[in-house]
Amino acid sequence: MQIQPIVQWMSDTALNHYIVNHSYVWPTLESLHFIGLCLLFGSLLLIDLRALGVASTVPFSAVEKFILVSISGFVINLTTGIAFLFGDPDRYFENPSFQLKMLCILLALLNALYFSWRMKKRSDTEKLSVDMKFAAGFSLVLWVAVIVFGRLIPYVE
Amino acid sequence: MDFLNWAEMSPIGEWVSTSLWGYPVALTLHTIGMGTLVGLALMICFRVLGLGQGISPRRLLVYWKLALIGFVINLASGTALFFGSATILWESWPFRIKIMFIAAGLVGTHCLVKGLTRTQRISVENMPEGLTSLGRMSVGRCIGKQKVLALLVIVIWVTALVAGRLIAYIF
Repeated sequence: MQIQPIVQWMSDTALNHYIVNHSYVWPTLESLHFIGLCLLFGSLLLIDLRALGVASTVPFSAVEKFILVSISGFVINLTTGIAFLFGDPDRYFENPSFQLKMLCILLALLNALYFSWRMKKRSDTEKLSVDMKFAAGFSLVLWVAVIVFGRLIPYVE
Repeated sequence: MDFLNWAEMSPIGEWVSTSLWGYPVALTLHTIGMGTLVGLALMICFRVLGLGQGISPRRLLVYWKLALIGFVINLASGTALFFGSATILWESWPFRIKIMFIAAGLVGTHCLVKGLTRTQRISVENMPEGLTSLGRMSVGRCIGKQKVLALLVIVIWVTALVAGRLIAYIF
């Protein structure tokens, strides 16, 4: 796929010019991206660890409510992440660490979809099957990988 | 200062500042630790503010203990990062603010969690047995003072996080 025309188009947008010409924007985006990371990762730790048996006396139905926080964190990071792309498109698309980060996010979203589909189908609201526990563990592994590959983007250029 | 120069010249300081992977490895561990510590501390605050009311406040101690694993990761990785550029960081205002707010965040979250376990023990002990079993709401509900503290703790952690990001931008 030809990526250069997309990079060129992104570099010519008003959003790119705004980000490049205002020094406060990049650190603000980074701060928001890290707040989103804490919301997403913290809430997923609560949900996935409960699915894996940590704090098993806590009702799963109560822990599930924190999915709202996960979605909020993801939306913040999707928005700020797109802004990063527009701000410096040359840097990201061909970066192997960025590509791996995107792959892990895609896998984590598919995994989350599978988990929520199984949640809806389950008969016992508190007892989770082996495949759901596996999905919960896989979710944590994938999101840790997302953090790792995200952090390594500037170092594998 | 002698200590700052010693830190930078130490094997850890040299590893972080001169090796290919020292800095990125320490930084990545620091981010995972931050997600664990701040992430779980924020979830505890959200519970106090009313989200996920089926979680007994007493159980929040388990999550605070898990969050402290994140703190241990960050203490180790943060020390390594500090040793890597001790003389610069020592003079950095965002770094100083970050450290002060991390200390405040740790104390604040600890007080919040301890206060919740104490409140619940008192409320359960003072309640007749029948009422305790029926009164799930009164056992699980947090009082106004705790909610104010939870809001304050959220602001403290977010400030620490933003100050940490600004270290790279404000010298």
